[in-house]
Amino acid sequence: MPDSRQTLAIFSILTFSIMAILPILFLVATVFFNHFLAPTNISFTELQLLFLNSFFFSSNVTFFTLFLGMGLAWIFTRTTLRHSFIWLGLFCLPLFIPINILANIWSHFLGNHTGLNALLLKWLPSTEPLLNFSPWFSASLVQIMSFYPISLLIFYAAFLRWEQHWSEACYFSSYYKKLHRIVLWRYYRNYLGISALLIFVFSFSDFAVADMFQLHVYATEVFLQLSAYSNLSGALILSLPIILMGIIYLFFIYHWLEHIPLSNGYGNNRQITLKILSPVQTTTLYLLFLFLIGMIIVLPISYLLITIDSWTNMGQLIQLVWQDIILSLFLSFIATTICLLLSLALAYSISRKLKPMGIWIRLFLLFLFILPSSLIGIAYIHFWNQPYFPDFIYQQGWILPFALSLIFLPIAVEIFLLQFKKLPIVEEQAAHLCGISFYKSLRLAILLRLTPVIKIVSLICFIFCFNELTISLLISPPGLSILPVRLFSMVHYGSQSLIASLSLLQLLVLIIPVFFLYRYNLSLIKKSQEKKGL
Amino acid sequence: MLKRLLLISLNLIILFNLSSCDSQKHEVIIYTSVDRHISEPIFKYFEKNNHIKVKAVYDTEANKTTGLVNRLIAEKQNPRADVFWNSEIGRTLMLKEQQILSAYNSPNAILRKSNYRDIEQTWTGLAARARVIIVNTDRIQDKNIPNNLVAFTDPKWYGQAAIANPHFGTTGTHFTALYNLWGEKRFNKWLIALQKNKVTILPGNAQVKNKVSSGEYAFGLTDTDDALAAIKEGAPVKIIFPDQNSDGLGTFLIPNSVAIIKNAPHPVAAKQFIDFLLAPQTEELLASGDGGQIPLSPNVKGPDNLPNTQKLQLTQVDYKLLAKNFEIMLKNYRTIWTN
Repeated sequence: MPDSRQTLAIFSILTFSIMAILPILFLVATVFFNHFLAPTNISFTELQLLFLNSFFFSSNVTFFTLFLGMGLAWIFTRTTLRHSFIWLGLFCLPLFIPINILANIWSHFLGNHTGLNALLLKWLPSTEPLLNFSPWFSASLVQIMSFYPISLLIFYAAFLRWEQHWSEACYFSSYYKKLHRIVLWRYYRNYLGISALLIFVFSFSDFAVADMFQLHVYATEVFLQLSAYSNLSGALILSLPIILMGIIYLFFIYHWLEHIPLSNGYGNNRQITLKILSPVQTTTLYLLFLFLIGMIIVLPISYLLITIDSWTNMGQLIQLVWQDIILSLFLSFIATTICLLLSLALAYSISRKLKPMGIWIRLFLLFLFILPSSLIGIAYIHFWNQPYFPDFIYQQGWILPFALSLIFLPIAVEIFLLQFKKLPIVEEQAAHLCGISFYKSLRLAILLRLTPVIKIVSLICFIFCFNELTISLLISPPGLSILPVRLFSMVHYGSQSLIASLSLLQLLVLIIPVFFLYRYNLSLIKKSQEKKGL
Repeated sequence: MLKRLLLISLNLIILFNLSSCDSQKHEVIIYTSVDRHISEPIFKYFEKNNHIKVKAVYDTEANKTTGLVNRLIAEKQNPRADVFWNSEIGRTLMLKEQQILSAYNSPNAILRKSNYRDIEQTWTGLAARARVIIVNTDRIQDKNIPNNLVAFTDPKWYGQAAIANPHFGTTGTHFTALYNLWGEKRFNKWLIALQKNKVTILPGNAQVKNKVSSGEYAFGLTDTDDALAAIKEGAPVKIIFPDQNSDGLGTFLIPNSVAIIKNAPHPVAAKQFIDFLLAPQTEELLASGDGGQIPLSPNVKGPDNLPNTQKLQLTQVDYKLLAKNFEIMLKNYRTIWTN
């Protein structure tokens, strides 16, 4: 067994080095030798202000996103609310809409003479806009609505994995409440920490929303350095403070993860006590959900549907881009597979301490996560576009799925790490003693129990890869047409109707395969239950 | 089994490479920031007439059409592109400064004015767009229509005008041209007046077009192709070519620019493409398209949907200086706008 485990660790670390560490280090070295300490076109005071401004903005977004995600996850898992899985599916829909499109829709909806204001101006005798939304408010709103499904899914998984016997163990203590609180905190703080880190970094590094509402934040400055001034060194230098902040934060999470007292049991079917909702509570919840769904889902989608003038456009559009759709789905599928396999292998190796470099790999993953995707793309070009490498690697686009998979790899590793930490090693040891091979025990004793998490990670990863624009643009081979690039190039010259058709198409392209996979998954579960005679 | 799999994979890779080597002989790789619906028909026309396959990489507005410039800079040591066809000129000048472009004197380049081509022959201008004022006719009546850049600072229009972010695209180039023409003092004064008059800065020209079309702003500064798109959509807008008085500044033209990349993999095909693109017939095609590109070759018919651009009073600028003062212009803009 140890040999196979070591092989897996070495293989995953080697792959990760080739895929991420070497290209990034190569870029850093190139920048260091060519333009060391190049000016960033921004004064230190301005930078400090910008950093603080962005810090408060992202903290605000993170707080409300966690609050919303956690609250919804609690309701779906801890109450007797009916059809909670359907509600979950509905609330996850914003994940499928690219953030640029969501920002575009909301900027129109919250505009001074459009959307809500236009509606009010029709009814009320006024010529001036009645509602004035600040860029800070609008950008926060769009980011919260775009990111909350991530915290919702993470907490959904966390609540599902909580075991009733942990609560029951506290009953025997004379200070039950205090002990229970400690146990709850120790369990949930890891999920809270990881979600907060992910959302904070997402918010801090997001350029699209801030740009749409012309909010000058740190991410726009990094983008300006690269795009307006072509200052690669400036963009890298500006990424350093957030990396430093992330490292400090990660230290706490690392410390917490080292002290997990709770391991999941095996075969414990004890049901968690659910809060029984009274009819009044159920009605209130339904009303709240309807309001939220209306605001988060129905409003943008209805806006899209209303804006589409002619449905024949949609048919023509599909005819124009169907090849791009197939190619993008194929690329995202490959990228998701790579990301899933590598993140599982890395997380397993780190959690089982197979190599003493776990913390360094996690730090590098964090660095990768914080780095703007344009810099990852440029790092790939610098590293792989070499005359002594075979031509097909760069020119034919073989590296594209690898680069795409890097976008979600850090998140996937952190999520799997959290899961592996809670799976006791005794079952693997028992399997080994019974003469079962490592890969078989991995498949039957570990991966099987991670199935729900694997499915969630695959889904989010697939969506992220599918919608990724910058990397596709930077390293897609000439002549290859990918859907996001095609769509975003059409958005420029297109009418509002065309943009709406494009957005709806992108939404459908993602939702339809996911829906069929979900149905397939349900049929598999049903078959397996029938087999067991349940 | 493993050996067999390895052998098959190796064979596949070799076959894949050989086939790609063969196809490489008759192709040209073009990076373009020109909108796809404008450039794609031109590529198809070229392929049909020259039997050379065009492999294009397009840019997008979502990243301010600067993705390909960064890609070209990153690929400098081992270039993959043959031609860069840029929708404006500022970034081409930046690439020239970084020594990424190669010289080529196309026979079709000589026909145009010297201002529209580089002395060192690294780039040539073609099919321009004009910087125009787009006015919402529901909000402004004919007699009040703003017709110059000073109107943006007129208190009468307080909070009603919009301009795209000058860090990017044609607005950046336009602002640099104004900086060069007016000098630092006058340019800064104009910027301060813009800020005092609460002129809104939007992410790009497309947003200026959208928000003026929807009536959120009364007027804005944008490019002819965006303004024409708004008219095509049926928006209540009008195009105004600014500063057409005898003592006016004139309308600023921003040509597309085309250049061969230094050490391009297919130099012969690249030259053929540039000759084709600079030909009067191609400019006529571009003029008749949706973008309404204004031809720079003499005696080529202009776009039907725009007034006769040959008679327009144009801003007199030296395009070669636009890269030089771009960063200084931005520094001034940032100092004034962030305070």
